[in-house]
Amino acid sequence: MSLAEFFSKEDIRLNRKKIILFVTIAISLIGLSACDVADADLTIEVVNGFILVEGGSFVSTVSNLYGTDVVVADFYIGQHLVTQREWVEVMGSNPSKFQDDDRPVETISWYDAILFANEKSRLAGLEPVYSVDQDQDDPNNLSLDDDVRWVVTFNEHADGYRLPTEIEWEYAASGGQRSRSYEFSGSNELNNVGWYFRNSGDEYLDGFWHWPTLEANNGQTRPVGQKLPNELGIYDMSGNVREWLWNWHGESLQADSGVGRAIRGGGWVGDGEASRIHFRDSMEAHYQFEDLGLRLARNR
Amino acid sequence: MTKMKKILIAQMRKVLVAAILSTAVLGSAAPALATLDFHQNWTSDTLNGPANGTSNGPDGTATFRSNMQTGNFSAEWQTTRANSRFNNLHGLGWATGRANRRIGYNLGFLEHHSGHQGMTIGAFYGWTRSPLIEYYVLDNWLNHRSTPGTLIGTVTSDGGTYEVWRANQNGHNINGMGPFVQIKSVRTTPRPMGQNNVITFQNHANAWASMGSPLGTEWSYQVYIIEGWESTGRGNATVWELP
Repeated sequence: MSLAEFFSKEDIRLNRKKIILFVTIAISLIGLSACDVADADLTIEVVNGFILVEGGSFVSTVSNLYGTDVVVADFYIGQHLVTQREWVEVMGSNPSKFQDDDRPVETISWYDAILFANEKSRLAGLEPVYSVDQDQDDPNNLSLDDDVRWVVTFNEHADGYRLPTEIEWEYAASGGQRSRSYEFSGSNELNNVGWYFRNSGDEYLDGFWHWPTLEANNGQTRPVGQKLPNELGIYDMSGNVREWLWNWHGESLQADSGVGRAIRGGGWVGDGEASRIHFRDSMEAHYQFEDLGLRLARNR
Repeated sequence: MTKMKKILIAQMRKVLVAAILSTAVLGSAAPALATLDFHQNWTSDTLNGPANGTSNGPDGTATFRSNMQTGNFSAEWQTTRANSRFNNLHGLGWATGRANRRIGYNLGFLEHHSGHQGMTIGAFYGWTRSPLIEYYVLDNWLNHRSTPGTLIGTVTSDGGTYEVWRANQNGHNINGMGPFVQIKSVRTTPRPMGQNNVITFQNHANAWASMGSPLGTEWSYQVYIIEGWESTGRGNATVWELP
């Protein structure tokens, strides 16, 4: 299915005017090295907030999957983190600590993220991707503390919104076929592309990571899209809030079970290491933290 | 001898005397490995203190002097109003830690002048990932040493006995928010001040592993710090790495 066909289908269902933006991002390189930021003249196609990620093998040499035979299929991914405005439109209330329509939603569990994706699909007339059985106890959930434990299954043929897989996230964050093998998503300098403990508060912090410093500096999330995008035109894949992903976290990037779900990207609290392309992390699915949000994806 | 030669010889003598004095003063406290690569000078008022200078804020002031080359730093701090929650932390260390690091330090002095609920400490401190652990080797404390968590054993190292306390925390950490383990070796008797002390960190890492809390495989920063919490005090320390 072509991009135009895909979104024509959705737009007919929504009876909304098709919004197709062809965005040329001319990144000012004043004070920045051309080899240390994303494409200087990047033409990307953003459709209803989503970017088509052309699949293939991993090009980024810093990726965990560089040189492997893993091939990623084409998929769509949100140009931005899900904002609080977008969340409230679907869910009706805002759980975020740092309230602002344009900031990423946070303080949501993995289960909340699943329900959001399904509800957004329903509102858009799309087939929900996830089947959620709240009465069963998931045997693949190895957490001792998670008392939610819903059984959530994935319909890979559904056309609705979903969380990215960990492999998809790493592929998109590393720039896909346009990758320049940056350490962070879009740059080797995190300050260019992401919010983390040094730059998320009132002053730029030096020294080592120290929570009281960060707290006294009023560290917090920032409105999405304020830093430079990566090679594919995607914003905030390093920093701001960490992102819930579909997979269990395990040695494999496609684990069948685990204590927690994969999370990626690092956030405003972290020291920046977690914002690296290859950095893997996890969180038990029931946790809700003010530096943990989501980004949506869809099948092509 | 010409005047010029006399001046030259006098200058050479000065350089020689300075070198001898420098060696005598530093003695074995001179950094064996000049690997210190960053400093922290922080107060809850001013956030980014200079490497050398005074920070003034509504709750307190702190003066910090540091020399990355010699490993020496000093701090003097004062709360300026009652019931303030003034917190200050100063230190020198390494951006990347390791289990087999042996450090020498000389805590010239550490004083807790006031703040009956507060505390003042000298400690070796850092983080690892995989698993995520915040660790302390707490050699000196003044006023009190409240330690959260569970006493899980003791370890003998560098001529003293340490209690090992472990706490499961859930909050802010170097990765973001979430669960992590905090583990502390707390020396039962504070180390003497004004003399060279050694921390053989491997002994602590091994003990913690034997108690079920192995440190992670990825190393974040590792520092020697002087910290004051709701206190007025001062301290001076020199830290260096041993082979």
